[in-house]
Parts: sequence; structure tokens; C-alpha cells
Amino acid sequence: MIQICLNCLLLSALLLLISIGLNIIYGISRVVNLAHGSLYALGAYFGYSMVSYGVNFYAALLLAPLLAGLCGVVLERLIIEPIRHRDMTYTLILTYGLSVFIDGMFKFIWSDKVQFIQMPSSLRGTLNLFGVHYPNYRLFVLAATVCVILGLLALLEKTKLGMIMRAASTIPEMVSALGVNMKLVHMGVFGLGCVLAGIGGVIAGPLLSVYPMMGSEMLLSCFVVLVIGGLGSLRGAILASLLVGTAQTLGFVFLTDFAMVIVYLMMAVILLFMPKGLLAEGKFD
Amino acid sequence: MRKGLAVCISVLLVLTMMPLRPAVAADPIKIGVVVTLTGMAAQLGIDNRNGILLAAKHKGTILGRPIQIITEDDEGQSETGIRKAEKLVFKDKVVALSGVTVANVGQAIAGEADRLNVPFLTTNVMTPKFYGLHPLVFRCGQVADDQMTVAQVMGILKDPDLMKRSWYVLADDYAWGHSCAEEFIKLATEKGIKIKNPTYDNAALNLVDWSPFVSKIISAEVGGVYACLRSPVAPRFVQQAADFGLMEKVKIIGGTPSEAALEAAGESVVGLIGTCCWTWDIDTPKSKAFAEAYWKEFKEVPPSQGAQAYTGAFVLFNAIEKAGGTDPKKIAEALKGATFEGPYGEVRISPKDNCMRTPVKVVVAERAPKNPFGAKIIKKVVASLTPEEVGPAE
Repeated sequence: MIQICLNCLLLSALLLLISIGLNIIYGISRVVNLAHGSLYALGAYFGYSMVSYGVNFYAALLLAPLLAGLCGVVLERLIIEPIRHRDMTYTLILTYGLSVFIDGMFKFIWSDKVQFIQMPSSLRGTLNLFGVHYPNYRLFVLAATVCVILGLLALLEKTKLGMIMRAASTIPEMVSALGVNMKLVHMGVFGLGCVLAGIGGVIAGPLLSVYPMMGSEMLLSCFVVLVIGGLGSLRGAILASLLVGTAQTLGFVFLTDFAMVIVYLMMAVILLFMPKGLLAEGKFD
Repeated sequence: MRKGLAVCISVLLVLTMMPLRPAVAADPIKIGVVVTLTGMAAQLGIDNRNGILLAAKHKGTILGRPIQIITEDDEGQSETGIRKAEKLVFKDKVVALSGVTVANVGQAIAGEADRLNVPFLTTNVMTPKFYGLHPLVFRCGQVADDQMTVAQVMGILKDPDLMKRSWYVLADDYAWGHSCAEEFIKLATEKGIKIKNPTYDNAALNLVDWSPFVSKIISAEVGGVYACLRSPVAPRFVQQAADFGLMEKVKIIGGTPSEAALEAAGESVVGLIGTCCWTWDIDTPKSKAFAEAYWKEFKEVPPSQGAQAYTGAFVLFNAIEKAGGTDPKKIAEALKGATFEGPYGEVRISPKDNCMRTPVKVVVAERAPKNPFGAKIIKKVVASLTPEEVGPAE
């Protein structure tokens, strides 16, 4: 039972790590970034290359997301910013095209092969938790997710930058009138979202493997989390990740053939009766 | 002067009457190769394509004509596969189709056999539906699902340690996974092998975290797992199982993960049991020659799928030669009963059902000894089965 609970938490943590960036970007900039999955994969590929060339895993965990964030900033400047004020359909189509392009690039640069990021030897093996042996690396993923989320909450709640971001998510015109460069805010937020996706990619690499379509496959689950938690709601995303991760894991244990059906049914019900998400904090324009 | 002019004109006339391309070689024999080069099955497709290209290089010519291999990517999609096959047959004028990585594409192309009207020999499709499917449709290179299952069950029967264990069955949730799992459960039960979950577990195709299944397997207290998972997915499951320490307690029998997938997963796959026709562990002159040639040509660990495609392609080339031309019916006739002594011994296409009979190896993934390919993992042969043992009976 302990193992199953930890499995629920692990999947929730992975979903949260990957979807949180998508959530922040939408929450503050109102951009539905369909290329987010590809940026998660980009982080994983950067991490894979670094570790393959002998870079320490922990250093790769720091550097690869920063590189993914940098790529995100460039993409935001070149592609998202010029069409920011147009209808959302434009960004949807454009970011979808971008994801197809990035996924294609993976094949050219890293080939179609399934790869694994080698986990550090210190995280191999299992830990005895109340009589249950649980892999060290999975416990590391849980701890790392908690650290990332706490760090993100501290940034948003305790810093001036966070205050600007929160204000920009609700009254961007006022923030702009106060002299804040909103273009810079949007760029920074997009970069931060991509850094978070990159962290998810590097952390998932040793566990789930690295391959070109990994981002596209994960994106669907991220949107389920976003819809259930409410678009743009950070607290909602945390709650939704826990719910989806638990439902999916328990589904596979007890109702194998219906596990995914349960998750999508849950999403449909919430979308029907709680369109702003579990905490009614979803932001719709 | 007039005489000189007449000679010049005569020479010019002779020259103009000569064929325009006297030095150009005869038209090539074109072979169309449809493989999956995009998505999860891409590595298998690349291995297949490379095996066929190597066979063409080694064969050199057919009936004095060079061989031209034209490759198309089916992206793992049936519709794309049919479109590419049509392009190869009607536009490129290939005389035969070969390759095909995944079952759905293979079945789709086979369904168009009358319209395409060229022999189609798959080197990788494993579905039993190919037995006697159409007079122009053949399988040679890869074993069928039923042959693989028989080999895996025999592998258990031949090892007393495996025989005394009870087995948990896990399958990819689609036609191939279901068919493998059901075949295995049926045959294993008949042979007295204990199956813990006769209704077996289906794993969603986009599953990334295997821990729920690992937990179920741990709590089921079984000694073995039979995992009918696609080649690129199996090492991911095994690696996650290894993280939980499962590999120390249970034996896992998988399909036949590609060498590239095993290399990527590394040491965590050590102990994984599988079946294949060929592995570079086979120590015969022809096997060694193939492995060295493959390495020299592609600088990759010689793969099972490459050897299988090499074998299938050679059988096809020889059949065209035997047919004495490119008439589809004559090539098909020559393929029936065709034999070939290749990297894994003699294979034969049964005239009864157009599908291959072959020796099969039961293999275990182990740490590789020092080798010229730089491989970390080797598929070590632990049992060899004859074509008669693997069947099906004719």
C-alpha cells in the first residue's frame, strides 16, 4: 500500500513538474503553448547530451533547463510576441506548428532512437521505507518536485518580481501604466515556463527515457491537469496533479483496462460542472 | 577527295546508328522497401532497411543487372504505407516490395496485393495472419508471433528453474500484444506452466510510468513476468522494474528488443530473456561475416532485425534470379520453397503458407565481453531450437 501511495505521488509530481510551466505561461501571458511538450523534451535531450559527454547529472539538471529557458526566450521574441495581440487561434496554430518542427529537429540531431539519461550512481538502489523498498531515484524526483514548487511559490509570493507577475496576470494594463515593461514580463514568464519544462525533462530522462515524441505524449496529460485545476491556477494545478496521478495509478492497479477512461471521464465531468477548475480559480478571457 | 568524304560520311552514319548509350549498364532491377523511419518503431525500420541495403551490396547484380533499392518511410501508418507502396509500384516500377516494420502497415499492403500485382515479402511483420494470406505475399527474415511464443515456452520448459516459477502476463494494449499474451497463456497452460493472471494485464500504449504494474507484480509474488511489449518500450519497463529491485527476484521474458534499445537501457536490462533468429553471439563463419560487414558498413552494433532483413532480401533476390525475369507470378513461384543459408543457418519458405521456417535462439541479455562493436550488452544464446521444434507443422 505504501508503495502504491508513493507511486501515486511520483506520477503526480512528474505531471506537476511538466504542467506547471504551461500553467504559469497561460496564467500570466494568456498563451496556450502547444510547444510546451517539445520544450520539455528539449530539456531532456540537452540533459542527455550533457550527461553523455561526461557532465555531472546534477550540473546537467541545472544547465539543461537554463538552455531550454534560453531557447524559450528566443522563441517568445521571434514567434509569440509578434502575434500576442491577435486572436488566441493564431498562437494555438503557431505553437502547434512549432512543436512539430522541434520534434522533427530532434530526429535530425539526436535520431529516432530511445535513449536514457544515466542516473547518478548515488541515486541507484532502493531505500527501505516502513518495510517497503522504494527506488532512491523516485524519492529524489519527489523531493526535487517539492523543492521546485516551494521555490516557485516563494518567487511568486515573496519577491517583487513575483508581485509584478501576479499583478500582470490580473490587471496587465495597470502594471504597464505603472511603468513596468510588459514585453519583458512576458518574455521572462515564457522563459521561466520553459526552464520548468526543462527541469521536468531532465528529471524524467532516467526514468521514462528520451525520444522525439516524449513531449507530445506528455502534453495531453498536462492539459488534463490544467483543465481540472483551472487554466492559470497554480494551487489548482497542484491539486489536479495529485488527483490525476492518483486516479491513473490506482486505475492501473485496480481497473487496468479503464485507467485512462477514468481520468478523461473525470476531466469531462469537471469541465461540465466546474469549468473554472476544482478551486474555481481558472482564468478565461 | 570524294572517296575520303564518302568514308567520313559512312563513319558518321555508322556512329549515328549505334546505340546512344553503349557504355551504360543494363537497367537496374528495382526493389521497393517500405519501412517505418518515424516514431517509436523507427529503430526497427532503420535496422531493416540497413539489412536490405547490405544484402543488395553483397548480391551485387541480379541476372546481370544492378540492384536499385528505393526506400520509403511509412511512418507506422497503414494509409501512408499503401500510398508509398503505390508510388513504388506504379511510379518507380519496382518489381517487388520488401521490408515493412509494423503489422498494421504489412496487413494494409498485403490487402492491396491484387492491385499492386508484385511479390511482397515482409522481413519483419510477425502476425500469424500472414500464413497463406495471398499467393503474392510472403514472410522471410522475422519469425511469426506463434513461432516466437513456441520458442519462449520451450525456453521455459528447457530450464528447470524457469519451469518451477509462476508467471505474470503483461501486454501492450493493442492487437499484437493481445495476440502474443493469449498465445502464450494458451500454450503455457497446456504445457503445465503456472500462469498467475490468465486474463493478463493490458498496458496503455502511451504509458510512461510502469510503477503501478511493478507494484502489482511484486504483490502477486510471482517468479516470472511475460511481457509482450513493443521493442522500444520493453527496455523502459525493464529499467523501471530494475529500479525497484525486481530483476533480482523475478525473470522477465520479453519480445526481442533491438540491440539499440538494449544499449540505450544499459545494465538494467541484464537478465532479460527473449527470442530472436540471430544475435552476434552466434559463432559461425556466416554469422561472423555478417556482423563484421554490418559493422563496417553502418558502424552500429549488428542488430537482429538487420540480419533478418538481410536474410529475407537475399531470398527475394535469389528468387528473382531463379525466375529468370521480373514476371510477378514466376518470382512468387520461385519464392515458394526457397531456401537460403544465411547468418542464422538455413531458412526456408514453406510452399504451404508462404512463410518462413527457421531456427530460433532463446537469448538472455548479459554484459557483453570485449567486442569490436563497442557493445555493452549481448544477447547470449542459452538455447537453440530447430525449425521443426518451432513450427508450425506443414
